[in-house]
Amino acid sequence: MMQVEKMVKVDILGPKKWMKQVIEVLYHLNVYHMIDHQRTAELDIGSPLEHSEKVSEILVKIRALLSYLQIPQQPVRKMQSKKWTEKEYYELGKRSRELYLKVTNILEEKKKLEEQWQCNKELEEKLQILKKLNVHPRVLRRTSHIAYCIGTVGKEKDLRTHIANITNRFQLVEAREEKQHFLALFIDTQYAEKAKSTLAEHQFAEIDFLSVLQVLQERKLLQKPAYQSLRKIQDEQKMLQEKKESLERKLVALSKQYKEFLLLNEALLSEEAKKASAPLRFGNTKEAFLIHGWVPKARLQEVTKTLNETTKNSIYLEVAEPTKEKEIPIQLKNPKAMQPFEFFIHMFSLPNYKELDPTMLMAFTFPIFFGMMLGDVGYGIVTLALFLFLKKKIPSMKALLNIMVYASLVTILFGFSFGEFFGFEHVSEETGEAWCQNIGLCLEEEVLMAHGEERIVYSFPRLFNRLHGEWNVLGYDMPAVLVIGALIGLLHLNVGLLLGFYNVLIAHGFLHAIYEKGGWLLFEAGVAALIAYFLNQSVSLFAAVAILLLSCLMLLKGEGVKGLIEMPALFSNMLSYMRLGAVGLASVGLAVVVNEQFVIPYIEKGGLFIIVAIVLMVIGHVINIALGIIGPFLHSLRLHYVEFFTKFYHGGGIPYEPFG
Amino acid sequence: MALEGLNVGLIALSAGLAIGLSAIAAAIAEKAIGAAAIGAMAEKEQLFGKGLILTVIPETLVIFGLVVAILIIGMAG
Repeated sequence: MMQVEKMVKVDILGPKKWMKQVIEVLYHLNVYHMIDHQRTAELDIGSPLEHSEKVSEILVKIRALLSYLQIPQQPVRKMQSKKWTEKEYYELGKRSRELYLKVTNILEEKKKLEEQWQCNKELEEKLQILKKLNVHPRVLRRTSHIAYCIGTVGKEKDLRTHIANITNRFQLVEAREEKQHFLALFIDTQYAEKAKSTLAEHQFAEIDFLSVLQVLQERKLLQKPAYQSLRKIQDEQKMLQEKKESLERKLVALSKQYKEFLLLNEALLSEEAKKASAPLRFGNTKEAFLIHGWVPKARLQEVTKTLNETTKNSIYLEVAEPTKEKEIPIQLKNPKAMQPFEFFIHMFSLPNYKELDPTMLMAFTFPIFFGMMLGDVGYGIVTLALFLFLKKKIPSMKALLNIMVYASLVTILFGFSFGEFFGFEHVSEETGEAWCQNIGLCLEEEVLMAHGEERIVYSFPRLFNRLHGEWNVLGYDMPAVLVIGALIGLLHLNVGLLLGFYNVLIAHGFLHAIYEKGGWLLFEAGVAALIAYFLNQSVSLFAAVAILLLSCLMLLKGEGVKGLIEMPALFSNMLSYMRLGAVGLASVGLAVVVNEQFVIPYIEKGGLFIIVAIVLMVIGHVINIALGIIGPFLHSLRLHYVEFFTKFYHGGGIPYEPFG
Repeated sequence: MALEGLNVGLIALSAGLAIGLSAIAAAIAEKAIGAAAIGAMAEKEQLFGKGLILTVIPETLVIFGLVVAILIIGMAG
């Protein structure tokens, strides 16, 4: 119960001629947690098996193909691992090389087309500008007498006058499009500098035409007017696009054709590569190899038997009980129904070898906390359906979704005990009577005070009124759910402290456990005594203070100054559990707002407003359910991680990852 | 003691302040911690659990705010 899987250390020592078979056996068994050999002067690490290079060469090609053809990695149907022959490697290598060549050729061609398209696009944009300004491309050639600037201006006002102030030997053409104002200025070279500074004042941004000039010259388009060249370029673009699309179609076809082949061989070869590179983790001499690792105690016999049979007893196995705790890989051990909850432990940190594994407790408390916060029959049914649906859609998140399915079921249970259905606690008098007469569903009659009026309603059966129940605590009326939350907190924290007591007992001995965790328990008793003294003096002040002081001393000895500083934290921890009620109240509150402020008023108006009411109801409750999943999930998780785990859990275990 | 009018309003206002201000305080504290925790997680993903714990520690402030708010409302009778 609550222990992690017991492990034994198994070192394998054998002659090299059996190495390949040993690797095969270990891979097949899938139980051996291998530890990398640390290189020493006497014992070097091994080198990969001889076919390793071949395998990785093909594997690299296949993985590249998978990425080029945009085939997502996905698990293939689990097949028997395959025995490869030389010929098969050769065939597969040849086939993948050919395919690789084919695909890379297509990709290269595509890249060339894209480059040309990009180049044309730039040309097209600039020709558009020339066309707009009605400037012939051949004037772009530099001459010694006339300089030109083409570009956009931000402030076009008075530009012409300002330039005319410099000289009258210029020509200015302008064109406006959308928000941009294009212009081309041709001017006597000697005034060019001055004109440029004037242009700069008008926020001129020059567009470079030098590269375009070169391209036009190369393509012999310089003598043609801009609109003609433009048409030619646009036709070309269309053709390039078509060619590119046909190449893409080819790639898609290839991807479809070779998907199975590539995925299957990727999986098979990855397996082979893993086996082939395993000796890198071994200790190695000229004639022998040494593997260090761990095996769950329950499967030790199977491992030794298979290894001995395969190698005809020619290897030596050294089996040892664990000594150094830090090195032991951790495999959690829980009943199947609770295994989904291991997800939370993996997310936090695995326990160390001697620590208790809290999965089983969490399997009870997490759904209860979640359900208590959400607690609504309607919401529970919706979330249950949602998570069952998601479980089918996303198998990779099965553990988390299973947890949520449990949580939804508990939500429905709590919903019944709170008597809440989509935020409704009761139905109106008319509906209640109608239900009773027509379908034989008679609810309990209740009188409600609302806005100073008495109203008869028919309430859903409930054990406990979450929204209106109040308890008197030390003279204050408190919402009952908050008080219940704090009480659950007190219980939960004390369970944590007791688990902590056990953990410390195992790790450091009885005395330590008494000081460290017993101190906390005694501290609680002291506070309780103090409260009793203030309430009715049933305990003497001296006794209460004495208990408190003693607990302080014990904590100081057990946990040091840190323990003393953390003393008030025990109370904030307990109060923190009030969120069990508070989050729920917020959730009901929102549901009630949706129902009573939006839905019911519209329904009462009748007619088309009923449609509005339904839309509002769906939107409102969808939002509330979304909040109702995220909120309770995080809060429940946090109560475990922050409040509960800190009482006993250290974690830091290495995950058990069997070779295979 | 019957409370009415402005007095009830003042009580409601102070209850609102109690929870609102403590929520702001928690938010400010969590902002810095959360950013640092995400940064640490980017380096090492296994720190998620520890990061979550550190991030939500200031949340208790809001719970205190809530308790105080409820006590204040209790005063209104």
